[in-house]
Amino acid sequence: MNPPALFETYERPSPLSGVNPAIKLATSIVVMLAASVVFDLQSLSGIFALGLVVAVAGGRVPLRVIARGLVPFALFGFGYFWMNAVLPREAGTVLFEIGPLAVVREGALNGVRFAVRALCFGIYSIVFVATTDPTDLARSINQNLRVPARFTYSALAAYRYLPTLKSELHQIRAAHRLRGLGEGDGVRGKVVQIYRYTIPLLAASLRRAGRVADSMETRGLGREPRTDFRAVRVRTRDWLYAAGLLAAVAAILLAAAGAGVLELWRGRLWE
Amino acid sequence: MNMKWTTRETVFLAMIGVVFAFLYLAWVQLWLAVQAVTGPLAMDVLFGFWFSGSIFAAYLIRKPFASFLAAMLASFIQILAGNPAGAVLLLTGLVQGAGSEVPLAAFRWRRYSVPVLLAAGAVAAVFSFIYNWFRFSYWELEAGLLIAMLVIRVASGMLLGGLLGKLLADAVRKTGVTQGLEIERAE
Repeated sequence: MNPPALFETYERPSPLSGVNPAIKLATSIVVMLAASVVFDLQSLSGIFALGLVVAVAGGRVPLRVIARGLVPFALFGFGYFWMNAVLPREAGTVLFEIGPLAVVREGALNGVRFAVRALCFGIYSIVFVATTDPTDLARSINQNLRVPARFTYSALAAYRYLPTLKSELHQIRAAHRLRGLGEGDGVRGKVVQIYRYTIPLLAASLRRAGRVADSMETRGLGREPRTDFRAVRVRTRDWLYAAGLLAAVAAILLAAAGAGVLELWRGRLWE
Repeated sequence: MNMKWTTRETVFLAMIGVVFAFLYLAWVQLWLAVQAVTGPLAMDVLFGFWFSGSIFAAYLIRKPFASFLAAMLASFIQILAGNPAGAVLLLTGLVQGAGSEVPLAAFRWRRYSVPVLLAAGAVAAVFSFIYNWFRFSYWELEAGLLIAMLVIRVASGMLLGGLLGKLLADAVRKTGVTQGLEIERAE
């Protein structure tokens, strides 16, 4: 069980960091939904390249941070590629063989598409996460989307805990090793491992949740009416960002349709 | 019972969502490994674990929509953290969360006995099966296989979802960290 690298906000002012968080988040989600219903390599690569440009030019996210952020997505993508190449749904042309495994052309192609699709989700997550201050997000969801403050600040507190969760897991693992509990191999080993980590992890997290709740309550959170120290507004440029990005994605899909390569995710959502 | 959420409950809910998002991702890795060896039924055997967080949250917090909100939160965090399914997962969380909420709502969020929790896991499994019917075009599969998949998934939802969710919650309760939650007042 490897904790994914996540939620490392890159703090540097950029055009994107000024965009209203709720709108930026909604835009990223809409693009991800678009990426999940198309399934041709050209459209997916286009959407991915667009995300890369937005992250670098709009978000000034360093390539190093992008590369590191894409690692978990690339790993999943590679898993999909491998599974499809070696175990395709339908028989096809054999490209080459590695020992007993035959790599099938159609499966490998599908695998590449799955991998690029995973990278699409990755890059639009980065576009949002690497340019957004979590506190601003909580404020924006509370003020713009009218979700009660008690919920948004609780979510924020849990979110802040994520990096600690990682070190907590390392600690539990180290404690187990110290007592001579090794890490098993194979599926059985993995199940045993997940089980052994789960209860201490849950207990430690919920213990912290209790302390966080106490400290939030003593500071009067949840009392109504509340006033806001900082107002988060929705401005014209926020809508421009959303409209611009969605128009660019639409242009990519139209271009793919025009070239006759556009393909929807066959037999998964429609057909 | 007071049906309004307290700050303690919302913080616990959020924390449960975060930790289970983590566990669900680990479970995805396990599923990929098992599937590579045994084939497509592996998904149905393992499926129930992806409801366990909802049932864990509902059992401890005992407030309307605890189960649903835990599922939504966990799916949202998984998207940001790198689940390969991507944004569609929000829809998955919505469907499964709604499923596990139905039996709890039917008892007006007042009963959290083992049969009710098993029912929550079973209904979540049925909901997810209907959703996957469209998402993965199940109609292309043979009827016999489909029945086997449904039966296995419902059983998995009851055991790995409902029962395991409760057992995990009971194990965590023994550490004493759930003070101040509804479950401690109920008994």
